[in-house]
Amino acid sequence: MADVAWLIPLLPFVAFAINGVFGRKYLKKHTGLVANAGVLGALVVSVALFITQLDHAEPQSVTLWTWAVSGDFALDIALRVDALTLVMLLVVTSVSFMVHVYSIGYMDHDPGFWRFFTYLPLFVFAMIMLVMANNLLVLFVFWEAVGLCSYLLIGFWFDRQSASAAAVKAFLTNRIGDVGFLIGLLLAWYVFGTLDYDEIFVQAPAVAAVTPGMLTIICLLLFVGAMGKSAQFPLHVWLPDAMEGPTPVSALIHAATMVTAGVYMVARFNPLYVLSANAMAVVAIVGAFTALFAATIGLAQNDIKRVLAYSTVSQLGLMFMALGVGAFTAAIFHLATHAFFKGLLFLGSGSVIHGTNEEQDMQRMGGLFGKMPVTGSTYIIGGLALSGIIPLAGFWSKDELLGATLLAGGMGYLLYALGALASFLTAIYTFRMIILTFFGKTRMETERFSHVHESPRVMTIPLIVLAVGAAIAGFVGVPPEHGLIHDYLHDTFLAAELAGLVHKPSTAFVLGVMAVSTLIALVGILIAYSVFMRKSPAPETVAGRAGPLHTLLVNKYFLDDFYDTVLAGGTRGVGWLFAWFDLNIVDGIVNLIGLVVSEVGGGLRRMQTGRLENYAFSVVLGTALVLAFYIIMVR
Amino acid sequence: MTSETLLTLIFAYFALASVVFAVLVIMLRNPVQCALSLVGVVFHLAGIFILLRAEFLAAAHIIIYAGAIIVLFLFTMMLLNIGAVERVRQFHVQAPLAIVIGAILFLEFIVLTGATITIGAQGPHSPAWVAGQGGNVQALGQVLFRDYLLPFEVASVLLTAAVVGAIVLARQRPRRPRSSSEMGVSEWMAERYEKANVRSSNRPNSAEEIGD
Amino acid sequence: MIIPALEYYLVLGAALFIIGLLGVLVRRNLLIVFMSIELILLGANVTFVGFAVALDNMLGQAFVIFSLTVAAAEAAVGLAIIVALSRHRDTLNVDEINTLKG
Repeated sequence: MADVAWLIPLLPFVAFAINGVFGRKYLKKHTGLVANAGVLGALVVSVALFITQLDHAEPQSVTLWTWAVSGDFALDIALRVDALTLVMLLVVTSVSFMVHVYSIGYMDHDPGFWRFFTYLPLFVFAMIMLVMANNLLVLFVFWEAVGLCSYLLIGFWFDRQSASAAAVKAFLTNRIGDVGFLIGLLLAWYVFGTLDYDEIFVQAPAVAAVTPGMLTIICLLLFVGAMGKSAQFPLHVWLPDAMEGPTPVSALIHAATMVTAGVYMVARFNPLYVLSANAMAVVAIVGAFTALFAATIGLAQNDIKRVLAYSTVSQLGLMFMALGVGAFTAAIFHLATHAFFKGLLFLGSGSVIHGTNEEQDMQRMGGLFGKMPVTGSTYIIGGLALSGIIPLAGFWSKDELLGATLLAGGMGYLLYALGALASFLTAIYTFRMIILTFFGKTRMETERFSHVHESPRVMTIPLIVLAVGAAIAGFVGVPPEHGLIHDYLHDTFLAAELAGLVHKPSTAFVLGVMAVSTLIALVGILIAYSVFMRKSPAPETVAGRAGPLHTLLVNKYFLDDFYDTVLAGGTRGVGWLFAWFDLNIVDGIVNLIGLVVSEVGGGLRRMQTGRLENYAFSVVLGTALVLAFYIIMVR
Repeated sequence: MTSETLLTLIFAYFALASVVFAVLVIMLRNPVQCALSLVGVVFHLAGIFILLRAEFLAAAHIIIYAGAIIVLFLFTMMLLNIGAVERVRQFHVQAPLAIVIGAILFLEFIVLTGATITIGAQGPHSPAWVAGQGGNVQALGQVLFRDYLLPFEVASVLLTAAVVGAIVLARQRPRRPRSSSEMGVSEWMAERYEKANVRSSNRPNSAEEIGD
Repeated sequence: MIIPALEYYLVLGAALFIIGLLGVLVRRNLLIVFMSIELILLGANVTFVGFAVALDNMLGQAFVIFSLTVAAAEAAVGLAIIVALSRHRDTLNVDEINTLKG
């Protein structure tokens, strides 16, 4: 069955190719159908593959062709099919399909409709190849390819200044991470002499025994790449700005799939990471810090999509935290559930934006629930899942992830505290968002409020499907530590178990963590309710009461300004210096040389009379001189 | 008077006469007279060749040069109607300098001739062998058509190419308007000018405009 | 056996060569320039035949045949060029043919 694995990336690619070539002139609105068909095909094949591999998901790889051979180094383009890939494929293709369906409605009136449905299948293709890659270089190529799609889609409305700036920002920030990734890749090749996953994993223990430092460096460099792609502090700045893209793009790329590529990559290289305690610690600390950091910023944002963006950064931080303590299964579990409920929330926010005629500022919303019941109720389900309310998807995965940090002991207690605090804040900002958007008295003008309408069915049905997913997806991980997903991924993350990173908790412990998590979430929701619902103050009043703290949060800890002033400004200053040097010194030398040559040439040009007899005379003169030289000197 | 002296005198006559005619070729103003002087050069050189017992080449020179090449020159002059002496300067500005350099080169040749020529081994074609073949013509035929048959045939290819080339070059073509990329700007303007009003009579000389 | 000595013939060849060369250098009429080139070739021919006789080697004389071939071809093509040129430019004055000028 793994033989048909190549169909999974091929179908979206075919859709991309058809739409790219024929979309503009011939297909126009039909590009949506083509793209949906391609992605649906990928989803069907993925599900089929998953079902056949349900019992025995041992790694298989299908070599498509050999890309390059150099000495004993061969580079195969191969598709890997194993448990982790299949889980990722299911998540990617199912969320992608929902987003594709939704986009038909959302992008309906956009003049770039065909372009949108050209980029989107291309992204799906690249993402599928990323998770199916069987060696580091192919991974890197498609790592860049999804980055390219992200760039194209963030800047989809490129006639908007802010959109194209955000696209460039995303691209450049990712470059920083990618440089780390690339160096890590080259080092891995240098150390292991191969880029093939399995061969690296086989050699890893031996390398760790000889040069543990090198292994740590490789792991950290790869993690730098993951930080860029998955928007971890301090490379997170691009993701909130990426919300300039169309909302389905935010849902698919910047919440559900592409940004989780970093998590996937670290999980994929778990046999490497478990050998380096230092690298693991860095991953965990960066993750935990980012989770809390982004959650605090999320509290003060007024743009509905930006709240979700910071929430995504925060949730990704939690995943990295879990990876860092060796709870790989928990991280992937949370990745999967997060894809559903965050995809749902983004699509819901898109529905709100669509229904309110392009309003994104929550300060000018409120009371929308009555107008958009389907969007509102699915949104609440997503919000509850995000906050971690039993029995929705987010609860199970987040709870397991927090429990794992606690079990890790030592530093784990601190990580747990950070993670729990982040969860607490998550509950607050999530319900602040929900209340400001859907409840209370509306703050919209009556005229506009009367035009608010529920989105068409092509958009609400994906919302309902995803809401069901967000509600029940958690049950693949029930009971905790022994759910379906744990058995399925058990072999993939065997290395963590062998390294002694997996601890079997007692039932009492599990129940205790669950109780604490639920309590945290409920308290958070209650606070949000009491502040924003019961008293129903204008958001500005709350902001005023928070004072300087609010200023700090609204400005995202001034990190963007810091980057702009110090990094960009410094770069500009250095650039100015170089420009001066180039213009005056380098160009001066070049111009001097040019001047000399042109003057000499001008002098010599007078000899070029264009008259053959002059030239013939020079020949004769030369002959006479040569003969004279011969007669005088040689004889 | 020994035969040696006699032969030397005959050589002196032919040599002097051919040099004089050669000087006339480059000195005379009228191209027709120049061509006729060239005939004189060729006739006297034929005498030199006979002196060298190269009778076939003597005849060949007269036939080819006097009979063909120079007639071709005269035909060209007739065709282009340039027999009349052009009332323009006939010599370049560089003439005096060229004569000096030419004289120096000539002296160098004489010096080199007198001193440095290393004669190679005697070849197989002694006068006795030539006589055995039945004379110069037979001997040359033996060499040319036995040892050097392939170069001879290649020479015929060269002649054919020259004939084709000459026809192609000299054929009277209707003047088709050329694309502007093929000509210089001033040429192009001249052509526009020509098309616009004046016919060839007083159009600006394009060559003059490009020059200097 | 060669009378007078080979050197005389070589000097005669050199003289014709130099005169031809001077003709190419000093004359402005393209036709006469071509005649001068014929003189150069004739000078070369004399040298060839002189050596051929002095060295008892018929190759020198055979080579003159090829030289004649080249002379004929050159005259034909050269005169054709002159004809084409005079049609195009209305002049045979080499001073005015200077499109090689850079």
